[in-house]
Amino acid sequence: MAIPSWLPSRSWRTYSFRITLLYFALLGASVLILFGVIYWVTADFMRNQLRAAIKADEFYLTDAFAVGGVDGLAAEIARRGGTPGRTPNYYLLEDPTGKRIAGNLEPRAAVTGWQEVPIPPHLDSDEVAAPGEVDVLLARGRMLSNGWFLLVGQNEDRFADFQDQIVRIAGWSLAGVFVLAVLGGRAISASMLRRVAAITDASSEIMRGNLGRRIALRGTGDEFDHLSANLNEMLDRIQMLMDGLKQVSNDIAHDLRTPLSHLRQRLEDARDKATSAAEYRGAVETAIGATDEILATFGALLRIAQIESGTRRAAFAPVDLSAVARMIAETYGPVAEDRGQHLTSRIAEGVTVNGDRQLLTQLLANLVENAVRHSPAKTTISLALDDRPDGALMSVRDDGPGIPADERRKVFRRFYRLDASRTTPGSGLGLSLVAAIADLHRIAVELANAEPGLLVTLRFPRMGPP
Amino acid sequence: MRILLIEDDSATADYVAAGLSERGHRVEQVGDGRAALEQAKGEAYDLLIVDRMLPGLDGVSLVRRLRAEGIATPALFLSTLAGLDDRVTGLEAGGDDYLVKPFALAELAARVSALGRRPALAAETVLRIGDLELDLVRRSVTRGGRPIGLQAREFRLLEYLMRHAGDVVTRGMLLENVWDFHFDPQTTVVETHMSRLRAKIDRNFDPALIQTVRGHGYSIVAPV
Repeated sequence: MAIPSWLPSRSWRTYSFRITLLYFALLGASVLILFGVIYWVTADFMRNQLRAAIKADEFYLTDAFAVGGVDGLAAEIARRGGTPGRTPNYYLLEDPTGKRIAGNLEPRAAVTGWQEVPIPPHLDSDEVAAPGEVDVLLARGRMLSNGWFLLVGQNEDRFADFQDQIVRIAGWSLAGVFVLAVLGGRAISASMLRRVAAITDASSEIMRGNLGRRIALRGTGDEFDHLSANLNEMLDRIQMLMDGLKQVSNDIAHDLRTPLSHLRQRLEDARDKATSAAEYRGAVETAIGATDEILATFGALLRIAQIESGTRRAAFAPVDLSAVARMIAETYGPVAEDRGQHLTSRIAEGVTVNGDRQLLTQLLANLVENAVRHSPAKTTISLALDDRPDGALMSVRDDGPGIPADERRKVFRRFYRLDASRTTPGSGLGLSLVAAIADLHRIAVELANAEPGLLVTLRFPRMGPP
Repeated sequence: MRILLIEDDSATADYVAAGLSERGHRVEQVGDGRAALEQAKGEAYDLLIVDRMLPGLDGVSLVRRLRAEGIATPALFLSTLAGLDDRVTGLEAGGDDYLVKPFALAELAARVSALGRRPALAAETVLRIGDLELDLVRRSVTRGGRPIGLQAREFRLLEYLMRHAGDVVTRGMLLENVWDFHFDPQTTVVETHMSRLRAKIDRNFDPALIQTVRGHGYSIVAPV
């Protein structure tokens, strides 16, 4: 389709403008159909009106004939304007020989019933009739009881005028619809383009490096606001992730420097001071141990990153959480006992969740190990699993030292360690891993004061179609 | 054992080859995936050690192709990826074990021996070491005819040791196979359960069957 040059090319290419054109086509079609129906209905109505008028005329004339005979009828015809001149009414009264006795029409063959009769040129009220073109009138012929012929007719001009009028109005309406559609389309697409342009501007500014830039909302709650709000939320999340990443790189740099420099010191010590093979061996063993710890930290960081990427979710399958909890209780019961602690469990049977069995095992193991490692002897650790209608509920409770309220959120951060636990071996990544696994499974993790001790609650999402 | 080591990093390859040769294995090295495919098809090896990332043809595809051609030589994957999925894809492709780099040579050696051993016949329902008997059907254990009550986890631990009698099994192997733990616990899970198992199996009997291999793992050995 060729693009008219007067259309702004940018508006033309917009989706909204094309929609406007489609609207115009639809509106135009409905205008045409509407006027078509009006035309048809009024034509029918007017034709019936005309026939009724002719019949009424004829009825009066027949009446006049019954009362006054041929003379009365001729007089009535003359009185009703059956004289030459400008009149919509036409009459013809002929005697049985076909001679015109009264009326303004030329004598013609006596035909009864509805017919179209040419209007004599001198009687035609239509001044603009083209030469050679003869207008017709609608007429009805009838034989009177004495064998005379009566023809009553009326001009169809009014009717034709009306029809012309309808066609003209339809044309103008169509033109009006077109103009409105074009103007409306331009207005709509211009306003949409403005909104889109705002989003485009904001995103290019963000691409140029102004990461804090957000798309302005209008507050109308329309689709554009909705889209912009979503985009803003996405940007916030990306920025949060980037900040997190920055934080992590800082943490890694800091937290791995310490063990690496310790390692270096020890090796240096060994080089300078070790004299026997046994001493060298000892130093090497320590160095290997230290290296393993650093590698374990790296491994845990990679694992957290991989879990946070969310790709594991594709492999989710139903997991028998009861079996996992039983296995953890069975495994850590003796471990706790060896440390003079006590592990109890109350596990509901047949609790199933959608997830990754390996990761859920690790999640639970980390929580129980946390309780075991950070609590003194005589602590009781209890593991519970309940099947609730709104999803499985798991809890790990201990009556150990607990976590101060203001630090409960922070413990999920990478490398974060409570002052009290700085001397306990560990990477400070255990709870970060817990948070990552819980996030992946959409499990809500709550830390609360168990008075005394710590209560960790895991609320699993309701098992449904994944 | 005759081992084909498929590894493109020559430092790792030499280190592994030297370590395994010292332990009495015959190691052949190849650094390219396609060459390895031909070699593994043409020669009879007892074990393949396959790096995941190889030039030519990656390790997982290599093993998958071998399995498709009906070659069932046990394969152990080596990978630097601590990935969660890598283990699964490796095993699904037909690998028999998986070890993440860096690893201790002792760990690799233990896994190599475990893979070299033909699996116990499926029909075997009773495992025996000396006077220790483990009945897989009745889930019962006796030593010198006296019944010994074991917890479920202890039973699996003993079963795994006995299936690899004479070999060193490492902490990692036990965690993976007895507990299905694919992470490193921060507590003495293996040590605690092992010491309980030993208390039941060995304390009131002579000689002790379960040996600690210092720094490497455990081994159950039949008395001479």
